Formats: sequence, C-alpha cells, structure tokens
Amino acid sequence: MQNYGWLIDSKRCVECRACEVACKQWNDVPMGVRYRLVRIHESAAGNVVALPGACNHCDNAWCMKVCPARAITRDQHGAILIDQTKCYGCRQCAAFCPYQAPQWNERLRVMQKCDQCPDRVGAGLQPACATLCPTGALRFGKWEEIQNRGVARVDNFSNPAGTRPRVRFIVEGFPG
Amino acid sequence: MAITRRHLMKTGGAGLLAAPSALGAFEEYFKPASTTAAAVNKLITCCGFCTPACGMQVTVQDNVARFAEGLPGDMHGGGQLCGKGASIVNFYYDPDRIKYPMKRTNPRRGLDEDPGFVRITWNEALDTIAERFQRYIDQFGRESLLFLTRSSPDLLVRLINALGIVNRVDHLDICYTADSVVRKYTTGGKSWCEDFENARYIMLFGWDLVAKNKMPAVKGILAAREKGARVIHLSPNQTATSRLSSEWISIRPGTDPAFALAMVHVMLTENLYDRDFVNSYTNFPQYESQIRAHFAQYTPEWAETITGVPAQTIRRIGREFGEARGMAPAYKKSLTANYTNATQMAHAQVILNLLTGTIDRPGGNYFARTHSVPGVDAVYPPPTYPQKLGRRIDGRDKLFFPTDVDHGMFSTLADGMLRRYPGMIKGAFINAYDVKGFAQPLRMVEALRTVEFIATYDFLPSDTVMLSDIVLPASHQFESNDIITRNFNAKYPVSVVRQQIAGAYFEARGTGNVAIELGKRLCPDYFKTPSGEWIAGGTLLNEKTKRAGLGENFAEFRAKGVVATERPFTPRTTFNVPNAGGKCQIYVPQFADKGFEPLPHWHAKREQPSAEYPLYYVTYIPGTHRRNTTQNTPILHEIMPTNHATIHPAMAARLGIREGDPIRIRSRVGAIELPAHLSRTVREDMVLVAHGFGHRSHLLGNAANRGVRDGDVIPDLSPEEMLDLMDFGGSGAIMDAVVQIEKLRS
Repeated sequence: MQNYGWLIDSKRCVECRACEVACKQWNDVPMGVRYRLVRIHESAAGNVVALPGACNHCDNAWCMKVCPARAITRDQHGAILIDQTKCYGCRQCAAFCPYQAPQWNERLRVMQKCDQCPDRVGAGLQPACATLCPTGALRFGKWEEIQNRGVARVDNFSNPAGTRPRVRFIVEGFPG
Repeated sequence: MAITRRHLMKTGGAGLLAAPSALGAFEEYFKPASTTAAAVNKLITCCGFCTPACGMQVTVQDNVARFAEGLPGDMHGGGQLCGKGASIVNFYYDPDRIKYPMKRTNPRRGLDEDPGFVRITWNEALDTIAERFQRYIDQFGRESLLFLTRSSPDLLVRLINALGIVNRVDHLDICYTADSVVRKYTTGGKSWCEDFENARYIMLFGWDLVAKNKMPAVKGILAAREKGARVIHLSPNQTATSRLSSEWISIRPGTDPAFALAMVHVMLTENLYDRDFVNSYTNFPQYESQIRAHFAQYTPEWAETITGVPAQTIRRIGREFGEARGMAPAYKKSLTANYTNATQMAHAQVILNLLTGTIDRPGGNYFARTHSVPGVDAVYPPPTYPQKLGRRIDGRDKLFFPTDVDHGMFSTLADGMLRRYPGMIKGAFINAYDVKGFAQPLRMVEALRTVEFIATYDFLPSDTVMLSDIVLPASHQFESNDIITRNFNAKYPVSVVRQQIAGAYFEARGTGNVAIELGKRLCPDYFKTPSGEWIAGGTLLNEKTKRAGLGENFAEFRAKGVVATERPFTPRTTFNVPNAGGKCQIYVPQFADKGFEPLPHWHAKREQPSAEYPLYYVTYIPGTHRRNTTQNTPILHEIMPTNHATIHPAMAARLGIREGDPIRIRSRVGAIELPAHLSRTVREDMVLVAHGFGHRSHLLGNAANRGVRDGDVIPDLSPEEMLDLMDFGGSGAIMDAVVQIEKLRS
C-alpha cells in the first residue's frame, strides 16, 4: 500500500481558493458541503495565517474508530473513505474529528468528506485541489517523502498527537 | 457512493465531437455525469475572467464542459488557475444566465420595479434597437446616443465609428487612465510587463494583485522572494500581498505619492540613481536643475507628516531602492485610479523606475512583445467615417489628456446626464457594464432613468439589465473563438487560442455578431467586404490569424493551441514618447504646455477626514470574485456570499461594536448598513468594504440582496472638480471617500 500525505506551506497561500473550487468542481460537491476549506486565522497581534481545512487522512483516524456503522475504511492509497451506502447519519465521525472534516449532506442525510481523489491518484495524478493550487502552498505526495520535510504541529491546528494526521507544515520563511 | 466526475479519468481522449442538441447539453450539466464510457476531450483555451487570460485546459465530455485546470507551461497561469478561473465551468452553466432576447413590458424603470421581461426574437430585438437609434440620430443628432462599452471588440468599435458616435464611454478612468496618460508622455506607453523574477527590490504602492489573484503577479512575486528579492508593500490594510512581501508598511490612505516623492528626494540628494540610463535615455540632463530644485522640498521628514510613516523608514527604503536598482510596478487601479492625486502618483512611480534605469530592462517594467493581430479596419478598410460631432456627455472634452488617450469617464457620466446636459441622451447601448461599477451607483440609476431607450447586452441579469428596454443574451467565452495575445509576461510574442468549448446554448450571440447585425441595419456600407459581401466573423478571424502569422486559418491555430515566437529580449534604446527625440521624460513639458505640472507635486486627495466624517473609506476587490460579475456563481457564492465592514478592534471597542454587529457607514453622499468584522489587519482610522455585492436584480438566484453596494458612499466627480484638484490625468477616484460609522441596534 502506497501511503500519501499533504505538505502545507502557509506563507505561499494567497487565499485564491482554487483548491476549494477544484475540489467542488471535480467531485460535484453540492452546495453546503465543503470537503476542502482555506481556514484563515488571525492572531491577537494581527498576524494572519491560512491553514488547511480538510480531511488529513490520519494514521490514527478517530472517525473510523467511532463509526457505529463501520462505514469508514481506508483505501489502498491510505485515504479514509465514508461508504455512503452504510452511513446512516449519526454524525459521530464529525463529533470526534479534530479538523471538522466530515460534512453533513442535508439532502442525502449522510456524512461526506475528502477521499483524496482516488481516481486521479490511481491514474498517477494529484488530487484536484493540489493540481490547481497555483503557489505550491498545498502539495500532495508520498508520505514517506513528506513526513520528514516539515513540522507536524503549528498554532491553530489541532494537536496532531491524538490522530496523527498525514500533514506536515513548512515553517521556514523566504530567503533574505 | 455519489456519482462524480471521476469516470472522466477512465475514458480516453477523443477527437472533436459532434454537437448534440443545444439545450440538451446545457441541461446535461446539471445531471450527474453518466457512468458509461463517454467520449472525453481536453481543449486548450484561456481564461476570460481577467486580462492576464491564464491558459487553461477544459475537460469536455459529450460536448459538456466539466472541469477547468491550468495549461502546463503557460507563461501567465504557470500551469494553474486561481479560484475564479477554476470556477469558470460553474459560471458558464449558471442557470440564471440570460437565455433569449427580451423586452420590457413594465414602463416604470427602477431598481425596485419588475421589468416584466418577455421573450422576443433576435430580429425583433435588433430591428427595435436599429429603429430607435436611427430615429434619435435623425431627431436629436448623433450626440443623443450613448455607447457604454470598452473599445473592443473591433467590430463594435466599427459600428460606433460608422454611426459617428461621440459618446462611447468606458470605465478606464476608474482603472488606469492616469497611468496611461503619464506613461504616454514619460516612457512612451504601457510597460505593464514586470520582470519580477530578475528584480532585486520591488516597491508596491497599494498594488494588490497578489490578493486579487492575478496569476502572473502571484507567480512573479513568489519567484522574486525565492531568489531573495526584497518586496515592500505600502497599504493601509494588510492583504495577501502584504503577507507575501518582505515588509508591510501601513500608510494613511491616499498618501503614497508623498512617500514616492520623498524616495525621489533621497535618490537625488544621495545620487543613488543609474547615471548611465538617466543620461542616455531620459531628458534628465536637460532639466536637471529644475528637477533637483523641485524635489528638494519633499524630504522624508515632510513625508512623515503626510503619510504617518517614520522619516527614517522612508529614507531607508529610498536608499535601498536606489542601491538595488529597484522597480515599482504599476497596474490597473493600483493608486492610479483610486484617488484624485493618482496622476501625481503615476508620475512619481515612473520617475522612480527611470532613476533606477529599469524601464524595459531586465528586472524592471518592460513593454510587451506581442504578435501583431490586425483589427477589422486593417483587414477590410472602411469607407471614410463620419466626423464625431456633438457634446461629450461625460465632460471629457474639458480634460485634454484623457481625450488624448481616448478613455471614457465613468466618474463624471452621471453628473453629465443629470446636471450638465439633462435629457441629451435618448438611447443607450450598454455592453455588460453594471451600475455597481460606478461611484454613487444610485446616481447612475437616476441618470439611466432619464434615457428613453436602453439596450443592454449581458450574460447575467444584472441591475443594469433590469433597467433596460431590450436585453440581448451575451455569449460566454466557451461559445466563441478568438486570438489572445500575451500582454503581461511577454518577453517574446505568445498567442493563445480562445475557442468554442461546448457549443452555443440557448440564443446567446457574440458582441461581434451583434455589431454586424446592427451595422447591416444602420450603416450597411461599413459592414461589407471589398467584394461587396457582408463581413462574417469567422472569415475575419481566419484572415486575422493568417496576417498575424499564427496559422493559415483559425482552425490551424486552434489545433496548435499556443503559438510562441521565441527570440532574445532586446532592451529598447529609443522610446516612443511624443516629441521627445526618442527619450523618456522625467520632466514633461507637454503637461506644462497645457497649464499643468511638468513634475509631480504633492496634492492631498479630495476627501479628507473631518470632525463629521473622521474615517478613511477603503474598498477592495476580493480575490474570490471577478468584480461584480461572479457573486451569483454557486461555488464562489458559497465561499464569499456577502460583504462586511472590517474595522480595527480598538475603534470597535470605543464605539461598543462587537463582531457581527450591524453598523451604518455614512458619507456626504449616502449610507450603507452591514455587519462589522473586527480585525487588526486594518488601520484604526479606516473602514474596509469589499466591492461587488449588493445586487438587487431578483433574477439572480444566489446574489440578489446579499451584501451592499460599496459605491453608495463614494462621491462621483465632475470635470470641473477634477481640474480644480489637478486631476488632469483623469483619475476617477473610485476609492476617494471619508465616512462616519455608528452602531445600529441588532
């Protein structure tokens, strides 16, 4: 099984939302459901940082553990998936996810979330969001290459010790 | 599992597809994609949302556009798109778009009136417009017609010229007229390409193109930072541009010209300029004593009192800029349209670039190298056009320089229609301009209510459409063909195809087609080829393609997608400045000849804080939306559905305002009410509001009545005011306002 993960370089994010739009367009995500978000945090000192709001396909995925319907599984690329034929909408996954990734689809009355575009990844492509990101703020790649490239924990991002999300953050600034 | 686009991956590429029935394809978009092995194709085009026109590939399945992504290797988008570009498919299939020609049945005209549109045929629409326009010309003269349109496409301009229309008015005064005027007489034209990646020091005066998500700018600043360049952002509010810069300097709104003048002072007094360039390519040697004497007054200490930025910071940046041979990019609405002192800003900015010798040099602003695509008049020379006689409704004739560059004046149009020449305009043709694009939009609505007959060509039912008598459905870029030349990263010529992606839906038509059809009815002699046939858009495009050297015909160009003519970048040694002997001008005698200032002076912007209106009002165009166009696009609407008033928490605390509290913002011309958002990214003496919201048209399902019009509190202008304020370059001052705020009961 090839595991993948996400590399975030917040200083490069210009809040264009191409990742959000690409995700919605590629996956036909309905209004009111957002698999990927750019979350903007402003500190008390007025420093602004953009952080990812999406499923981080955690190594220790609490959502998977608490799902009473056993609808949540991991695929061959390491992505956490919700089988919507099994989900009956109890929303336990949302309650336990530290990253607000599972989204409630009011019309279908099931939970939905990022599944890491398995069709694209299977075809050797990046997920839609990372394909469109114009600045390299959001990158996707093999987890063994990403996990040592940045730090696991940054301010305003839920403590990764619990679920071990497959995301790393580049914290170095630009040269000069 | 929900059915997704994903089967697109599983199917192979196919050739061009047979067109299905038109309406079927549109409706097909709203269904989940079929799971059968449908034919999938990726077509090359370029984005139509903004001028950089980033290259894109659109995945098309059975003639339905499904997904847009960047064009790898493209020099503008760099292979990716911004959120707006990525949403283009969603925009295209907006169910609220105008589908058929319509006419108004309710004679009462206003934002609160339902026009009672009924469907008509194209022939009825075009015949009605032609009959009305001819009647007004016969009865009231050519000055009675207003064409509210950009100077494109060329076929529409031909119609305007053939009718002898004196009143073609565009929006460029609120965009870049002052910059155009200054550059014409200093460097010889627009040098809007920026060689960011080779720049060592970049000075951004209110320039916010990163936050507006203009991809050539985003990629350029990123490349510059990666190579160690210093980037300084002057702005009253912190934006994504500030965050990508090395240093953000919070400056009082509208005082950037003082900062720039003081930088020039430092560079001249400390001789930190490129002597070779300045002596060889500018008129500095001829006017050196006047130039030095003029800038002696603008010390950093003086500028501190104006800008609020410490003198030592200004002096340091002046030195760093001079020593590093820095560059200061200018672009649309980057302080060259926001305030009445924009002409002085543009002039000072160009002088900074001339002193560092970076005009048309590596690491500087350079002129675009483009393919020469001929216009219709070059392909089919027209009979002599009639003279354009009559009064200019926007009063542009009072200002020599905006007339000289043939830009219109949105900022003075309502004043002309209501005060100077009331009732003069009888008929109007509006090409996709919304009233929200004007300062004081309600005054513009009043002005349009005085017009007897309005025909509007648009894609979505905007507020302007709701005021119109005849509405023509505009085509989307996915429904038409064109040649797009690269104008921003253009060290050598590159042209990209814009092609029909997914068939023409409903009854939308291109502007060129509308111009030809009106031309046939109103001025047929101008719409024939030399052999006596009617001009046809397709044939014309083939001829343009051939003459530009892009292919034997458009089909051949389309098959290539992109044509690049690579050649080494050769810096200019002569500059196309009028009557300047091939040199650039720091001192502009032509400005003095007309009674204006040959060197930039400090003038405060029009509106200054007072006891009654103590706060600066600053607006911005969010990167999520394309001005006032995409608020109805479902995906973008979901990301940013409305606007709010951003204020500093310290000011909010003084006024007892909490996050989300409704507040009223009032200026001397109007008031708006919207929720407060507290943020330390803005100064304590300002209010920040996003542009583009406040649509009233009930035909816009998502955008109607969401947010407010930012322009309602911005005073418009008169030509006399512009002259009094030394706004001779014609800045529309689209952000020049001061306001008070009060908390409303929630």
